[in-house]
Amino acid sequence: MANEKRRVLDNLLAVKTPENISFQFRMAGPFRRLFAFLLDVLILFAATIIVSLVITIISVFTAVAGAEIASLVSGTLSGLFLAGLFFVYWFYTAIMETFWNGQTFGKMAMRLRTLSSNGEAIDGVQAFLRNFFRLIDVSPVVSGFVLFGEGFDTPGVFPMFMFGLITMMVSRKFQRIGDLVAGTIVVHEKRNWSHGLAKFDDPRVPQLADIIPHDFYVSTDMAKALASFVDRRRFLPYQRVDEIAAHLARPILARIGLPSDTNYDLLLCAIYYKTYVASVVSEDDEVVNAFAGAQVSSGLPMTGVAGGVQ
Amino acid sequence: MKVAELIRRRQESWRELELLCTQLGKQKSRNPQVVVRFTELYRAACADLALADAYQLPPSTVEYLHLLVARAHNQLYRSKSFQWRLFADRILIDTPRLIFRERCVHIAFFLFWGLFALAGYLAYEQEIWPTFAEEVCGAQQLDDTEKMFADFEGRSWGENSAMMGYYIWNNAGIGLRVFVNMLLVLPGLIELTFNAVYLGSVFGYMFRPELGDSSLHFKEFVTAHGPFELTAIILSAGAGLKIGMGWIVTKGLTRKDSLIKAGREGLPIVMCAVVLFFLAAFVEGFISPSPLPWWFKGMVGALSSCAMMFYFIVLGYQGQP
Repeated sequence: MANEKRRVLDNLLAVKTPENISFQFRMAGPFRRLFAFLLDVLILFAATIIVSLVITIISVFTAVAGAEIASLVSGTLSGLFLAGLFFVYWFYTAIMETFWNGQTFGKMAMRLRTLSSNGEAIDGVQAFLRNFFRLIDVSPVVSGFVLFGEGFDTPGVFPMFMFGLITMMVSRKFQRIGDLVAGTIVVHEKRNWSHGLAKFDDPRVPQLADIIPHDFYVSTDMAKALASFVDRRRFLPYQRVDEIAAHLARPILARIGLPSDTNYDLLLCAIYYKTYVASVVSEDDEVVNAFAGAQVSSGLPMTGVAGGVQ
Repeated sequence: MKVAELIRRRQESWRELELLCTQLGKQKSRNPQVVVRFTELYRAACADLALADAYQLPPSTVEYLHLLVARAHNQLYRSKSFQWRLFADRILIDTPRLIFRERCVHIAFFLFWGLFALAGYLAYEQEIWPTFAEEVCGAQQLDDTEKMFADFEGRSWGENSAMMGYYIWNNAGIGLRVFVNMLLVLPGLIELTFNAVYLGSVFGYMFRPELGDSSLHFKEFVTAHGPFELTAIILSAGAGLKIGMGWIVTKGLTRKDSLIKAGREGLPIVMCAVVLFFLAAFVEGFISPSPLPWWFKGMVGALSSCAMMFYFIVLGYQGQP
């Protein structure tokens, strides 16, 4: 229940795989996605300008060979250009997402990926639908005249993205209208991970860990709280660290009978050290081996083990 | 076994899995041995994640495992590429049947042709509502159209291809816009109605006998590509209407599921419309403005109508209960 609440708050989506485990995706919010979209627009805009420049240059050069050939070449090229423009405008993102596993260039740069709302990869139909309906998501479209006042006379209109933004706010999985029609979500794939345990240079930490009585029990919740604390303490000023640590450290000190002027921060680090680095997880060697890589080369079906623990 | 020891042991295979994710993402052809190794490591990582809570791994490690498994999962279960056999079946068997039976396409068909014929008649016949065409299109616009066709002399190849590109960009774009706007039903219906009335008025006006040469050129110009283009507009409107009705009339599904279902069924219809827009643009670019005799253009129009009737009615009628 607590897990479920945390999941909603952190915009996580739990996915159950055929391997019968459940892992979480982090759903991407509107602003990261907006940047990915703008990046795509920029790329297409640059490509359009380059191609039209090339066409202009070719037309100029063929003009030397005579007016008739020039009109033939430039006409054919601009016809192809407009047909190509249609394809790019309506199909670029759809085709990219179909063949690049749910990513466009902009999404690659922002580490986003489109998935079906059940966590599976999307198919072509979904890719086309969600990108067609972007037309509604970017609306209402407002002319520059309205936005910048009477003096603005450059032609062109500006999408306001309001429909998409509002549906994203209302729907639970940050889905815009195109996503709702296609049944897709966009997730954020983080890469820069830290996964080791914290290391302590202070020699007092292991010393204090030895003093803590062996029968001092650390519950799962407390272990998690300790780990979050140790991960974060490097980024906080030491007075603040002390203040936060006090809430947990004071009752513990009272319980295990250490002097109450022990450094709170040091105490929590020591308990962390004792829990994760120094103490034994399980006496049951069989289970530990199942965890520690026995399955890597055997190719055993993992469903039994995984299902049992969940 | 200590937690630190446990993590240290497993870290190596996590790193390898990370590396393989990056490698497999880049490579086009995939080495089977690498893939087998990848799946092994993936299953192992899955098992690690499943057991993580039981072994009190620190939250940062658990989060890392979530990310790693998610990344590997996306690498393993990739988007399915097109299968051409299935694709052909869809085009030749499923889609025409779907369109033939689709109530929304029927509605769009009758709405469009009804309004088109009505507007055309009112614009042609000058007694019931003498200023109808002027009021719909604007006198200036009608004048321009008339002048454009009065001294129409054909175009060069270069102009033809440029115009074909323009027709694709503009007309197919309009079709897709109608389709998308139909999601909210009302804007789409307004756009469809406007197109029907406007086109009908232009046709009615240009068919008036007193326009002489201009009228003749107009008839010659529209005969060949008309069937493709008007059908395409109807199809895209019908497909859009289907999706729009999807979230209004749910037939027992949840609103979201009903919308998704309608979307999946509507897409083939609108893609069919895009193909028709392309054919229309090709004919409009190269055949309509050519100096070919009128009977030939008439033949093109008749043949394209027959082809569409075969596709939508003959292929569509099969498999009726």
